[in-house]
Amino acid sequence: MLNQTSFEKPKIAAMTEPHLACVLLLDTSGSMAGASIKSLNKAINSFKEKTSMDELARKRVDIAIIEFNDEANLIQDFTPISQMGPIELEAGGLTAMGQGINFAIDKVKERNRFYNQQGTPCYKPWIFMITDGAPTDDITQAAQRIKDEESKGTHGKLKFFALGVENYDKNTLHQLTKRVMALTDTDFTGIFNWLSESMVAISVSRIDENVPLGNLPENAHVVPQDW
Amino acid sequence: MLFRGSKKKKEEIKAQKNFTEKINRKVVYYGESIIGTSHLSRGIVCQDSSRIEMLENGWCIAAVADGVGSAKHSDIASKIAVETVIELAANEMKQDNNTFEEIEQIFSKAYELAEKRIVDKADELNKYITDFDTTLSCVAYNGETVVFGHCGDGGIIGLKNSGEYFRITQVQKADDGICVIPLRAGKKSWVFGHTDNDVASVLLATDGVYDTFFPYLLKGQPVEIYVPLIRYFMDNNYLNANIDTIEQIKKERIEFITSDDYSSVIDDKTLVVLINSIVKPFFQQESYYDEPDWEYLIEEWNKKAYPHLYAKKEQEESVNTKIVYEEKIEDNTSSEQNDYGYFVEKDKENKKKPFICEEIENECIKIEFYGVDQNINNNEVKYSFIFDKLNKENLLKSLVKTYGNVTLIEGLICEFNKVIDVKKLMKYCSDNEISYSYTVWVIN
Repeated sequence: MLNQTSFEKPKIAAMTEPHLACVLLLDTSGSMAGASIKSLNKAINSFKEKTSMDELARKRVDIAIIEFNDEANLIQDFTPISQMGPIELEAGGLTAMGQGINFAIDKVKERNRFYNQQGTPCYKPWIFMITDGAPTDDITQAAQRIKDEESKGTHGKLKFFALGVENYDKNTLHQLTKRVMALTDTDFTGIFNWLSESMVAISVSRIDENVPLGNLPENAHVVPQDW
Repeated sequence: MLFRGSKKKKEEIKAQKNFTEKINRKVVYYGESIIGTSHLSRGIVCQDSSRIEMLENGWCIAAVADGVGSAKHSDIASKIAVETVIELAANEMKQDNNTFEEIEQIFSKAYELAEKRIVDKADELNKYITDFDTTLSCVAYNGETVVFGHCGDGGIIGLKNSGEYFRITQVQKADDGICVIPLRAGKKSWVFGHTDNDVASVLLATDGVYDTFFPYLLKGQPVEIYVPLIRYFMDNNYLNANIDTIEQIKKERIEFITSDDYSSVIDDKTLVVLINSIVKPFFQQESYYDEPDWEYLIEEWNKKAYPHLYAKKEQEESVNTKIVYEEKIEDNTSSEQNDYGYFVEKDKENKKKPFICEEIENECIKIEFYGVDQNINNNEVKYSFIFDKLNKENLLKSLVKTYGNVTLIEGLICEFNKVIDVKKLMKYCSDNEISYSYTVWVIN
């Protein structure tokens, strides 16, 4: 029988956690072998630990990992950051960058469709690509897709970042996005710390907020487009 | 002739005054806009605005607006929006015989005027119009019917006399599910309408508060609105709202939404509630007011969001039932009998031990496993069976047939992927004259 006389102040169940989908799109072609791939593996595992320390990021950040070499492969489907398994990528093969980008865009669109179907609020998804060379496949379609997605609506439907390492091709990256950065060495620790801080900053923001990102680490810089 | 006309007019005025006084006492209201912690920490002003006005004719009009976060001057826009709606509606609804359609048209006109005023303001300040984006929701309520206008996220919720909560408006967002559709999107996006005449109270909120009433985990459930929360704000069975109590009611609700309980909402918060103080809505069935089972709902959402993790979990659980031949269960228990006549094992660490099947002395097979026994009050238990080895092959064949996926590996190592039905196992032994003994431990 419902008690009509007593009525306690309710406890609000904070069950409106928005989610942020981020794809790490990683070049694991042959040229990444050696120190580069070791540093990348270490940095990704550390990125998971660091980001998971933030309570909101733990609940809100979903990470997928796609590698591209001879072809694009899904290493890890979207997983809460704190539940990511240890990563041990190996390098070898060509650089199917176009395939990788198309795959990554398909994944984030599918993910956001899922969030929308479930009524789950979501932040604009990120694709963070790392490459040390030039593509061995055609990236024209991929480049057009990035442009289309980033120009939809008031502020675009995704954010694509390209990080170049060692012998990366600057023109290729500028063909893809205006958000081009480069490392001066093969130490990925700093850039993944930056990525972790960015994920945390977004996690605590409103969904439609334009969150200013922190400074890049010392061994990374923005690569301006040539005039 | 003139005399009769005057007397009739006096009577009409007297009747109208009585009617208005009665109506005026019927609708009570409270509301406020509060700056969010995310804005406070960044030195940004509150971008929400709200206004409520009681008209002489008994209608109560209210408007709320939420400046879009990324728009620099959206606080100016939201203020212009609510003031325009209230001023124009107050001016044009002076009569007490406005039809609902007329009020909708007044709101439509108000939206156009608000949009124009915002554009003019942007021009005056020489700024981009996109810096002045805002949502806008408004109502006119006479204690029975809600006439409304809406664009953007946030929205309007009603409580019927029947006790049922319902959405009066739908959230408007772009295809990406992120971008808000602002007032500037124009007539094609604005929605106007009215409800049936059975509304006991109405609530308007900007998205920071509005979204707490519709947690996404409830989407698809029989009741999608978070009833235990929303009734605190608008159920007159408990508010007992009237002109004497409304200030205290407001104070408590505003304190609540600015308390730690609402700290997860970092956005600006606006809440406006209009209540028919005479009406006490009926009660729905008791379960309507129950707190949702959040653990279950989270688990269900997680299964959809991360199916690969659940497939992996099921695989690991099946692997965990694999027997390791050399492994022994540590016997570090205190054996005291409980009320059920079973030995009580205080050994929580062993709870996760795998299923064990080993050959023991006297040519017998010992099988041990953990589970939950419904016959013992759903307590976690450990069973230990000892079977006559002479019937090993038949026993194993039966286990394969009953449970599936049982394979013989390296002698006596077996795998089970399913739950052991102890009664079936005992019945099999009994039917096939297999001798066995068993012990059960209840694990605390």
